[in-house]
Amino acid sequence: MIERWNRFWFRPASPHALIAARFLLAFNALWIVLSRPALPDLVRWPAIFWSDASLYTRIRFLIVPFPYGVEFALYALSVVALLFVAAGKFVRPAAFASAVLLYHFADFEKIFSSSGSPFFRGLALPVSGLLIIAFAKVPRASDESSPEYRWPLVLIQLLFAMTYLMSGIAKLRLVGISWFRPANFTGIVLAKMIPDAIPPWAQYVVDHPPLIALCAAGGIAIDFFTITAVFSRRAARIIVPITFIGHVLIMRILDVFFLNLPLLLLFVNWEWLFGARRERRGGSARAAEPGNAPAGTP
Amino acid sequence: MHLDGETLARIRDALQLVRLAIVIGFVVAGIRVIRASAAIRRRRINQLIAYLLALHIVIALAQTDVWPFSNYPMMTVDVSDPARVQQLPVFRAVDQRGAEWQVDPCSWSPLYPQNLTAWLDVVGPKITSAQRGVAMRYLLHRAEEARRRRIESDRYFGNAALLGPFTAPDIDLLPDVAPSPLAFHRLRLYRQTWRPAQFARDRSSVTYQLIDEVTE
Repeated sequence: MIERWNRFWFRPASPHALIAARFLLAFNALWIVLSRPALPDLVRWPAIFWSDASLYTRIRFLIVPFPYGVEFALYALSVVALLFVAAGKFVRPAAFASAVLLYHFADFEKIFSSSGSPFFRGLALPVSGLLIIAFAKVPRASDESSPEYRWPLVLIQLLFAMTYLMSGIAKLRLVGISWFRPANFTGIVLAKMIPDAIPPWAQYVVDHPPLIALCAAGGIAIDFFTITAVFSRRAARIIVPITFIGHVLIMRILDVFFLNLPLLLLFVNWEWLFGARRERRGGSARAAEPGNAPAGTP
Repeated sequence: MHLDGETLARIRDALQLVRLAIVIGFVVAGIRVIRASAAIRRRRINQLIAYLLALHIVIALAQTDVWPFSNYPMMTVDVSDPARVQQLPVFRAVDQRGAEWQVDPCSWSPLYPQNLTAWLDVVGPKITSAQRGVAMRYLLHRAEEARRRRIESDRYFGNAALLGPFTAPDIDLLPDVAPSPLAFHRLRLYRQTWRPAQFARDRSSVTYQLIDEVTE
C-alpha cells in the first residue's frame, strides 16, 4: 500500500508537465480576471447593493471592502502576479500572491446576495492550483526528473478531476440515482430552455428521446470516469476527449460554459511532447555537424 | 432538534469562519512543506496530500462547500415532473416609445443580469421600496449607458472592455440582444412563469407579472 502510494505520488517526473500546468493555471486565471475588469468597481456601487452581504461571508473572502483605488491596485497586482507565474519569474511569491488575490476577488460576483460560494465561476482550480505551485519546488526546463515535479502535478490534476467526481457525488447525495434517469435529464434540458435564451440544440434533443438517454449516459461517464485520467495515461487518452466533447454538447444543449475547459490540457503528455521536440532539436543539431551532413549537402 | 432562525443564522455565520480556517489550514500545511528540511519534507508533503483528500471526503459526506474546494452541486435537482412550473425574474428596459427591450448582458458588468435578478429575488422583499428604487435607477442608468455603447458599435465595454470578443463568458451563456435605437427611460422587473414541457411546444405560453418599475 505504502509502496503504491509512493509510486503514485513520488515517482520521478520531468519538470515539463509541471511547467505546462503552471502556465495553464495562470493563463486560465488571467483569461477570467481580464474578462471581469470591472470587479474592483463593485465597491463603488450604491450601498444598498451591499446591504445583504453578510459580514462573515466578507471576512471569509477577505472582502473588507477597501476603497476603489486600493481594490483597483489589488486587481492590477493580481494580473501582474499571474503574468509572472505564466512567464516563470518569481514563481513562488507570484503564485502565492495571485492565489490570495483571486480568493479575495472570486466572491465579488456573488457577494451581494451572500448566496453560496463562487463554485463553477472559474477561479476555484486556479486558486488551489496556484497555491500548490507556490508550495512546490520551482521547476526549470533543464532539471533532471524528480519526485518533486510529480506530486504537485498529480495533486492539481486530481483537484481538476474532483470537479466532476464531486459533482456526480452531489447529484447522488442530494437527488439520488434518479438524477440520471432520462426523464430527469429531459427535465433539465427543458429547464434550461428559458424564454429569453433557448440553447441552440435543446429543442432537437428534447424531441429525440434516444439522444436524451445518450446524454444521460455521457453525463455519468464524465462525472464518474474523468478521475481515471489521473491514474492512467491510457484512460486519459479516452476520457479527456470524451469530456471535451461533453462540454461542447453541454454548451449547445444547456447553454452552460465551463470556464476551466482549458485545464483539460493538464492531461496532455507534456513530457513526451517536450522530449520529442528536444530529440528533434538534438537530431538536427547532430545533422548539422560536419560528419553527419545529409547526402547531397555540399 | 428544532433551532430557531436566529440560532441558525449564527451557526451559518460561524461556519463561514470555519471555512476560512480550513483554507488557512491548507495554506499552513503548504508553508510547512516549503520550510521542511530534506529529512522531513516527504512527510510534510504526505500531510498536505492527506489534508486535501480528507477534506474532500468530508465535503462529499456533508455536502457542503469550502471554496476553493467544493461539492460542485451543479443542477442537483429532480425536475422529472412534466407538470412542473418554472419561474424567473427578468428585467426589461423601456424606450421612449414604450417598447420593451431585453437588457444588454454587459450592462451591469462585472455582474451578469441573473446575478442581479437573484439579488433582487433574495434582498428585494427585505428592503424598502425607496431603497429598491435607488438600486433599480442605478441599473437603469447603466442599462442606458450600455445601449448607447452598443449603438455606437463599441465592442469593448463592461466585461468585454479588455478582451472584446475573446472575453470569457458567464457560466450561463447569454445571447446577444438587439440594442434599442431609442434611449431607455424606464426599467421593469417581471416574474416570468411557464411550464417547461408546454413551453417546448408553444413559445407563447409564458406569463409575466410586474414586480417593480422605476422611471429615470
